[in-house]
Amino acid sequence: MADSKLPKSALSRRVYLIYIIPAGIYLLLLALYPFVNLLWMSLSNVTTLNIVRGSWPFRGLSNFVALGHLSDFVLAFRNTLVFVLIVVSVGMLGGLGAATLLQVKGRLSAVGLGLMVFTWAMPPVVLGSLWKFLLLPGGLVNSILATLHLSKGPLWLVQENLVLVSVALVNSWAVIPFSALVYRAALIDIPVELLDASSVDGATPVQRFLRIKMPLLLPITLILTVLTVVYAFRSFDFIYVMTYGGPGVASTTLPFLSYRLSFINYKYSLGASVAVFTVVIVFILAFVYVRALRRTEQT
Amino acid sequence: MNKISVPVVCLLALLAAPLFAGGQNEQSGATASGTVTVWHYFSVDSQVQELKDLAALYNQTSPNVRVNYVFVPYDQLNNKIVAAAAASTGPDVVVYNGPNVGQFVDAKAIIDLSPYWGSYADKGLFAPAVVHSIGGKVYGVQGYVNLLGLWYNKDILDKVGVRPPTTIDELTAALQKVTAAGYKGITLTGKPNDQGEWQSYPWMSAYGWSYSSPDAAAAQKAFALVSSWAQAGYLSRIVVTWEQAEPFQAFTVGDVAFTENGNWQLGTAKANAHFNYGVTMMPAGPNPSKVYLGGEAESIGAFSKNPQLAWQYLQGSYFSKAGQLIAFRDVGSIPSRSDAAQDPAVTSDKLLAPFAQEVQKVGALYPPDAGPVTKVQNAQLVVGQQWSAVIAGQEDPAAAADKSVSGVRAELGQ
Repeated sequence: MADSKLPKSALSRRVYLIYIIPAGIYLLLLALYPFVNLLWMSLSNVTTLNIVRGSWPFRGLSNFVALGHLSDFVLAFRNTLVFVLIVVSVGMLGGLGAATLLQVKGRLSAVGLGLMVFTWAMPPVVLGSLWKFLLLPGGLVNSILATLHLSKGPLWLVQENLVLVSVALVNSWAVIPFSALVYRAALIDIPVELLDASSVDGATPVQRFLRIKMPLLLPITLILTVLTVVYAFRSFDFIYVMTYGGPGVASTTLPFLSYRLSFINYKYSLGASVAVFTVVIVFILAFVYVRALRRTEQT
Repeated sequence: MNKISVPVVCLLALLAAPLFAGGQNEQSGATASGTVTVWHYFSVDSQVQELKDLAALYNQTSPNVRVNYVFVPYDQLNNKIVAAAAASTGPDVVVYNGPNVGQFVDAKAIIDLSPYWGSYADKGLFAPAVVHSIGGKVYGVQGYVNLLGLWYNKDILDKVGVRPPTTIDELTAALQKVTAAGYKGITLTGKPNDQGEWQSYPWMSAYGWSYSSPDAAAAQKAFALVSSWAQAGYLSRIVVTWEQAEPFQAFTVGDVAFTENGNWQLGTAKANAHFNYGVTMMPAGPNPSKVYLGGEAESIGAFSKNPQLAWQYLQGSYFSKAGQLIAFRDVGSIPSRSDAAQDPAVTSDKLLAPFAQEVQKVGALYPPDAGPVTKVQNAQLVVGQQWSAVIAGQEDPAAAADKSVSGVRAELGQ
């Protein structure tokens, strides 16, 4: 019997390999090849003269050295960190809050969930354009603030100290539905008996949240954090639609700088260097979080 | 065996003739058939109407050809053309911002039009400035010229007793009066891109700015002017997020006294502005305000499946007198053919007269002749960014002027 099972098991393994071939080809063509091309571009001198035809002269790390002397790069890096921090913190906390509210079953919850999915499915370009109008000096947001006598209404997309925060908050708003849906599924998975037992033992709702729910949500929080950080780091659409990296260069982040250098200035290699730098940062952050996640799972 | 009869030779020749001359026969006049794909970035109603009317005009002589217009957003057209060329594909015809011809030639995305242009009977009617040549070869030709002027709401000016300004000082005084009367002053674009720079140039040049010899004092005066307007409330700072079409949309509402915008808005004005309006030349400073002579160039894609048909479409639309009069009628574009420009329909148009004067008196090369096209465009972007930062109140005029000069010099290697 044992002998007859061996070939079958080996065959199963081969079949398994066959199944992953399509995904492998997909990754190879649409992820690995473009990335290798990007990397090669960042190490070469690519211009409009040779981008289509002709060889790309090798330049080593000179493009990365040049980035250090680019004042916009330092600003874009700082802006990106601020942007990521806001999107991750507001997006995650907002998602957790929304999930807690939507956890209760009922019509309102169903409507809320429907709206969340609708928002999540909307293209960022549409959401960005919509918020651009809402944040106009005489737009809905400022009108509400004026009605409530809270503020005369700042210029959200103009003032230097506000523009990046405004776009980041809009981006966070777009992230909340995804976080909320994931958190809601995790919250529903928490055994009711555990929460009931803690109530019998006299735990307050706050204690139940901090001592029982939060520890159980930690693994999913770590995964969500990795995903949100990656999402925020590569965020481009909202900045492109709402501010075009301006006024001046006030809301320019690394992805937008990469776009501008590559497709406006036609400095393809410099733009590729910014993109590679961004990928490396994201990779390091993802690596750190994945390790932290593994440690948590082990403990 | 070796002998072939004369009738057989004639028959073979008759059968083989389309193989050798098929392209020619297929393209000529009413017998031409196929599809011409045209990439463009027009989204304003009047511009879209112009495209439809040009296709209809061409179809009068070539009814069996389908003109397939493909919209590509302005910011994406250049990249898409270059990317398409990399994949050995692309449109038959591309309608694009004329100064970008250099990038398309570098990327081998468009063909040399010289063989077609050289044998084109009407080529002598086109102004040299609208024929884009590189290395002695013609790559693109503009069917019209576009440029900026100062549009004004005549009803508002009449109410406050102001005449259309001819100088920057008169304009500032007018802005003070109209805003004091409760109207909005002026709209323009302060977006940190080529559109922002395009609109900044008349003000910058009025104080003596040039790319061949950038002067911080000149830039500072221009920046100080818009900064003072923004501080006084004559100009909303939100314009830093506006595309060039948006200031004009705001103007057509009717509560804005002035807008800096182009002749191509004529169709939009006729359709949407329900008040009396006019146009005057860009007001002068210590120097005349120079205005870029822009407009879209038309080229044939390097991977066009039927360049002969594409050329035929261009001849029958953008490059024909009737086509240029359509562009004038629908959009307000100034014809590049001398016979179309002298047509009574054009010469009698009061709104277009200031633009025509600008072409003659203060028209400036776009991009400026200060070095290789790509480098000059990068230098222009630096100025566009500072223009944006000043309007937003983020940058002091003096600091912005210094950054402009150093940025331009760095890009141009001066």
